[in-house]
Amino acid sequence: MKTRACDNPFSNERVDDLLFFEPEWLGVTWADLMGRLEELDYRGAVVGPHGSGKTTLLSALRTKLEAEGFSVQRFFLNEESRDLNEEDWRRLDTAGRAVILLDGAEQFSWMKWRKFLRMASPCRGLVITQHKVGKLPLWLTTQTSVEMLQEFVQRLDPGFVNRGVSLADLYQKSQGNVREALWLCYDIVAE
Amino acid sequence: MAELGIKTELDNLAYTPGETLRGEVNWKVDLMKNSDGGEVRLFYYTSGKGDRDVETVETRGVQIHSELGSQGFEFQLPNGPCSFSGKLVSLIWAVEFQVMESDETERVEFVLSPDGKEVDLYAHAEGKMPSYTNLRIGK
Repeated sequence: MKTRACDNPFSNERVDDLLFFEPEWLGVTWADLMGRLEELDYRGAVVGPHGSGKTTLLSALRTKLEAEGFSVQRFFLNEESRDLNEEDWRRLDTAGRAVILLDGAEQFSWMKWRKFLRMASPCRGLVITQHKVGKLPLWLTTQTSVEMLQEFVQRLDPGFVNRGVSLADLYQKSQGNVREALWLCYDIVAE
Repeated sequence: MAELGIKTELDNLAYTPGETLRGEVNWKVDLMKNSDGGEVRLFYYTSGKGDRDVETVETRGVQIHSELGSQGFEFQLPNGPCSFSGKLVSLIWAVEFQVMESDETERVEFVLSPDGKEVDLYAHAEGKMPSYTNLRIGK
């Protein structure tokens, strides 16, 4: 039986729908998180390894901040795009009192980071993600676990357990990157 | 909360390149919250492994002057890309209705291909592909 890509329970569409951030995974509540962010005057860093949910957390934070009446501007960096484009720099320049969310802050060179920091200084807040502590005070650390992977797999494909695949092995193989582990599940179903 | 609906003429869900897709959207909205009207989008997207791709091909504005209403729409469908599915990726065509001040959307997916059937990449890999003329996979 061949599974069409769009019918694969681990397809990008389904995984994206599932991977919304729930503070309970980290043993905290939104009130705890927002309280801590307020203490930091809305300037802090989310720190965690690849695939630990930093980007997902920023998406959830954006929704939360906008619901509370904040204006939000979000920027993305990654290994393929290690600088903002001209339009993004302009957007930052005109961000006013928005809260700035920056994904992948570690990609910036020192010079670019200083420029970004300077331009973001009039803004109401700045929350970044990075792999290691530094740049901004620590707001939150994200981490994954085999139990988290088990929970996701159960939600996406309750029958997956009958395949006799060890999720602990997949978790280890993907070095704790839950999204990578879910791609491995995709491959298993596709075969 | 808006209640939205979208359907294609005769509930047709298979089209050939260049054909006209006709349909109708309907709504029940709070006019105080949805004063900017709505939009119908013709688009395709990918689903499967890796990054998702979405391409909006054309849009049509929808005037919303009453809390309850409906409006027809039509799109001339392009020559491609055709709908297809394989192990790693599926390409899916859809029309979607959204009222502008709401995140809610309603969507109908359909197949675009020369014979009205999704191109099966598994069959292609096994050499069982029908010999389409003018088949384009890609823009």
